[in-house]
Amino acid sequence: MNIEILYHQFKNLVFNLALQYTNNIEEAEEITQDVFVKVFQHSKDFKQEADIKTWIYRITINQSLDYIKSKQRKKRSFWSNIIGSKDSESNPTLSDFNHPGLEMENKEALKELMRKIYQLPEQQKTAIILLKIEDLPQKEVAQIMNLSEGAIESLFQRAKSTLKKML
Amino acid sequence: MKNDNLHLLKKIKKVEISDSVFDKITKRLENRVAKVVPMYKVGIAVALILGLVFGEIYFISSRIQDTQQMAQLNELLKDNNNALYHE
Repeated sequence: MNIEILYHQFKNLVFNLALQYTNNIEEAEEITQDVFVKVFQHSKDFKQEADIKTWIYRITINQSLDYIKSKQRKKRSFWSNIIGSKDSESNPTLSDFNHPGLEMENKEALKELMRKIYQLPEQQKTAIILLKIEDLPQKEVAQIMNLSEGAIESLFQRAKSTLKKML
Repeated sequence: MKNDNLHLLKKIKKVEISDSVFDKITKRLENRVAKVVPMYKVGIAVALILGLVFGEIYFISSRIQDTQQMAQLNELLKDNNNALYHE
């Protein structure tokens, strides 16, 4: 696997996907680095069952979700660590919002929507991002998430319902 | 349904990543390679340590044997001295 060719082929896919999770340029860049380091280290483990794009999607999603979890753990206060409060884990909050892909016209509405998506459970968040932002067909999303198309549809409907309650 | 604003998500633009990121990735990969110790060096280090340990065990055991032999010899000499004295 040629490092440079692979990087240039998928760099913006990885970066933009990470950006949809973090809504922050610096964090998305960091995740992008993590993803490609992992891709190059584990290139021998890559099985030909799925295509490379699907594999890279999966790594990016997992790295993004891990990054968010790690960030939330660091944010938890000393007191919440003592009493074992899980508030910050169940309701992650988005600070440092810096998403360059939002146009001026609908910026505030989109910003609010992205903040709500950030708070969704992981699977619902991923389904919404892949279906509605990445604009992937349901079949491809099912392949990436290793679920049936029916499960993807169910996740999407639940995500919509959760968002409606929040908005 | 438009009241959930999900249609707005299609308006999010794709962004180009900064050119410097590739250099950071290659540096991280190079650092990682430098940190990983080659197995043959590990083998040499283990062999040296084992050699030292066994050498030390051999040295100590041979010192113990020498000490025991000296003690036996001293006992023998003591007995002989007493016999000579009484004569």
